[in-house]
Amino acid sequence: MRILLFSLFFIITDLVSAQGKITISGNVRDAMSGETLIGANVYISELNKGTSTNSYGFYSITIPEGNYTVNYSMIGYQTQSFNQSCTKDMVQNIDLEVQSFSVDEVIVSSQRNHNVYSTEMSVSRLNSKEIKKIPVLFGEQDVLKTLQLLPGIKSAGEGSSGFHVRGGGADQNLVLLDEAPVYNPSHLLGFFSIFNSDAIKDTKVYKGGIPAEYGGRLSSVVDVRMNDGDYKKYKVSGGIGLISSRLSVEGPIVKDKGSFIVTGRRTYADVFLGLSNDSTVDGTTLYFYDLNLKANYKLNPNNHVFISGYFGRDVFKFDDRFGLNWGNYTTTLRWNHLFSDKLFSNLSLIYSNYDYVNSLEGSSSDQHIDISSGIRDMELKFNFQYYLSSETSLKFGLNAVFHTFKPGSLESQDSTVNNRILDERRALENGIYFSAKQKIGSKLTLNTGLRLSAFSTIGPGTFYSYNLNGDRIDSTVVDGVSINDTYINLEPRISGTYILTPESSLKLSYTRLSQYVHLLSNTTSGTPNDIWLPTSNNIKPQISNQVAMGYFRNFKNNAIETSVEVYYKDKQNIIDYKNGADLMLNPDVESQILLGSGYSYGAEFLIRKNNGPITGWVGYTLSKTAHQFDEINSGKEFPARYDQKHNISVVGIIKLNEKLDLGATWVFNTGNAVTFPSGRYTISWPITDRDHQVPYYTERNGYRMPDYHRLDLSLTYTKKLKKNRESSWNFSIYNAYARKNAYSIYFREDDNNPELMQAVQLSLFRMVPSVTYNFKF
Amino acid sequence: MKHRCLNIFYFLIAVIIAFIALHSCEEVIDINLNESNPQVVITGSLSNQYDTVRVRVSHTSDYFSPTASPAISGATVTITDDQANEYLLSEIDNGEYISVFAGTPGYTYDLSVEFDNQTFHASSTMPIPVPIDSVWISKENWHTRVYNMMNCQIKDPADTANYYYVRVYRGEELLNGGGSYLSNYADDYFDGLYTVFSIWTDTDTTTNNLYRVDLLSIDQPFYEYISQAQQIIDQSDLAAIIASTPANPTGNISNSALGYFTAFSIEEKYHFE
Repeated sequence: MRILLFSLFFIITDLVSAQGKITISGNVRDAMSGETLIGANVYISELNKGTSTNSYGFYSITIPEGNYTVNYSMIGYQTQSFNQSCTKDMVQNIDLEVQSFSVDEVIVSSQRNHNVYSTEMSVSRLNSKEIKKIPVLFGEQDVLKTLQLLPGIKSAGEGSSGFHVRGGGADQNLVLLDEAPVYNPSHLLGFFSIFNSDAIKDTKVYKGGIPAEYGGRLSSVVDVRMNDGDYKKYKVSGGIGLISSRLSVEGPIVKDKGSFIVTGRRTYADVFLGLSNDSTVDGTTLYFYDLNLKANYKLNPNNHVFISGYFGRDVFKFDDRFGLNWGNYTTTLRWNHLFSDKLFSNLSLIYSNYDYVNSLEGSSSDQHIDISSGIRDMELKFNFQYYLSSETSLKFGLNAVFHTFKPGSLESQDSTVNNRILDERRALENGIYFSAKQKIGSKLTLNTGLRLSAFSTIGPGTFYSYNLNGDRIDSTVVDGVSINDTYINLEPRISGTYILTPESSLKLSYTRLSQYVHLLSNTTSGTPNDIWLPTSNNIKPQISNQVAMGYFRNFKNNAIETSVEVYYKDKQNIIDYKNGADLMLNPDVESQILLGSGYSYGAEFLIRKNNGPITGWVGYTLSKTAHQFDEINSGKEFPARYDQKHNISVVGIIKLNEKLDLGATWVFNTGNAVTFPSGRYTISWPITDRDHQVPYYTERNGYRMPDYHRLDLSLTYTKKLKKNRESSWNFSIYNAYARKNAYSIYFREDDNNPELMQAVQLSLFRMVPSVTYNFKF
Repeated sequence: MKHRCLNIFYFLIAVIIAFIALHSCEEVIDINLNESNPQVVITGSLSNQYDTVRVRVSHTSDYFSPTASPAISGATVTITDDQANEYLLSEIDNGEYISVFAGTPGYTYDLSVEFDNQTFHASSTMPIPVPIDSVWISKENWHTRVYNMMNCQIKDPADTANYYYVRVYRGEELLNGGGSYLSNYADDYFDGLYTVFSIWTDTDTTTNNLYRVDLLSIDQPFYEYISQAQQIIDQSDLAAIIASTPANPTGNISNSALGYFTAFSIEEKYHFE
């Protein structure tokens, strides 16, 4: 609180001293397509001051009148510098040219060392161009899988797009697609993410130091922004891969004023099922599709509207007996408005829906049964950015989300089945926030913020409380829209950067987060049968506190960036389940939930090279994550399943010449924690008269899977055709040295001697080659 | 219903596995598991049919030990009911204790096992049997093959929680319940209704067979025990992938002994085809 008052003091000082200053503002865009650039740097050499563009490519900087050199730069683009006399406010829209191979060396020296100077820590940004040359499974570019190559971010499993950030659960990541929350960002049990790389402009992930404008999840924010579409000319691009094909069409609505983009992707994995000898897969349909749509129009220099949507679904049908389909729909309507050259605002209306439907077909049509569950959000967000001076900028705003939870329903015309429709739950999640970024003196920059979040359950509905056995002991009926329960949390967000030398800095951050929506899923893979539940009288909000400290140092004129970060995070009211918990269609599902606590700490090392013929990074994470529940493991703390002591990733992209890029990644991690039996016993089922060997478990996650490591390679051959047309071939090998990594280990009776037991390891994906053809014209 | 839902899920996984099986492999590996302190295991059951009542008393062994469940001999094993009948079970071998009698639906049975100055208790109330309405066999196509499906229709008693297990025999051969695919049902979704249990059996095409369907009415703790146990016995690659963190099934024996004691009732129906 004291820091906040301190901030206010500086803001007022700034306001008072605002005379005799001018403001330069505008957009930074890609010269070729007119797409706005996110995170481009604007830097004034003489003043040693700068800013960067926001998520909409807008910047604003206020400086004293004078003659200055203004530099505009961004990785992958040629820097532009202007010498100009600045005597009055001006709008300066800048178009940056894509950097070509030969000028790389020149760029480095004029690049500002953003990573050292910015108050952001524990943040990584990936732009889609960057990730295209990194080898991936089935040649399917995937931003969520590329993220997992960064320190502090762990994969949920072989080939999985699920991830864990600094010891957080997979459901504790706030995944935003053009601001809309995506409740299940994976396809096909997690082997693919919903993000079609052709539709994605920019991805930013926050592992800590999470700014006050974000809230609602415990461990990270993944902010994915879709391409706006080319403002200058029509373009078609696409790709044909082994298991999927992509096509995207974009172009101006009105040249330089508005544009659109439509991107689609469809897999045909089921075609390959035919190759399998397994008879269970005949007559099976299995595919997914994604459709991204976006259009925007600049009404005038001060008003810009955007509409974007995502529609994706997985479809699985088996022999006309079973069906299972699931997916997300999101829509975002946005209005950027400039109140002045210093005050930027964005109003968003957001819709997001996730649901799944299982269908069972009986022998006649009236025996059809549908089982479904889902969550739907409607959200309003109003954000402001006020660029007070070159020293101070403010962000403030509010958001309100109306959640509708559909915990589950079973519906059928069949007279031999009782329908069961669990009560919908409704809730309102509100947040207001304020943050101020200030440069104090020449060495210290502080970003102080506060978010106030509130969560209210809304009727009508009946709410039960339970005893330890899970039996109902009391009920409260809430009618109409009277607000039943409200949880309020104050979430301070503070980060600071202290510049040690021009090439090094020390950063510190504190983040408190709360999460009011909870994912129930007691399987270890990314299953579609997700059930989301609101905070209630039985489920408390999850809360986390994180402190992080980092040392950032650049070498060789900022050509090489290095950083070391350490963090400690505690978590309260995290979720686990009772033994044998029944989560599906259970009206008393809240009685199956256990609340506990946890902590994680670690150190993350990163060396990164962004320019030159060889680019890439090396990351290493040393960490520990443990959980404690009174009802599990006799109340003793146990390692989280995804606790991995060591985690290394090496990513290298070598530009062999203008046409050939070689990409390689190597990953190593300690095996996940796992529960194995320590004993066994025999039971003879009276129901079948058969004997079975039953494993006896003594402790939760007391064992380790074997260490995991893998090398992936890719070769990209790009052929530039006539102006701006290009085609490329990408060849890749996943798991190039065919390591048999354990996907799971299970235990069974020896086929030859049922008295003896054996452990069996299942390994997936030994050497998967793939080829993809991409085109753009 | 829960298990029918789970089954679709199994098939989804099966298909995906079949797909990735193009690139996957399974192998038996050596793995070191900790030793554990031996725990007492007691399993026992009785039914409303005049038959051998068996109670088995043993210890857990190390997981890879060549012998399973060392027997506990010399225990005093008695079953009493709430009508003051007492049955003393005598040890035959391997820690197996038997007696021969029929239980009565509605009675509550108590098991007492005593050895080395330790006493273990468990109780179970034998459910009232539910009559079978009718049974018939239907032919179901599954890809290129035709399976025999045994259908068993019942009228579930309204307003009480009922739990069932269905066994299908051809002659003396039990056709279902192999591995972890057990045919247990809770009446959550058909309370008070006519319902049909459909059991996939095999592709046998012979005729003139005598089929028998046993409808077991089981108690709630045993239903839970079966549901939990089937997730950890006979593990397979499919189960391993969607499995939740494995845990010991919750039994009903006192003093934290493993195992269960249950009393169930049986209704039979014959079918000739």
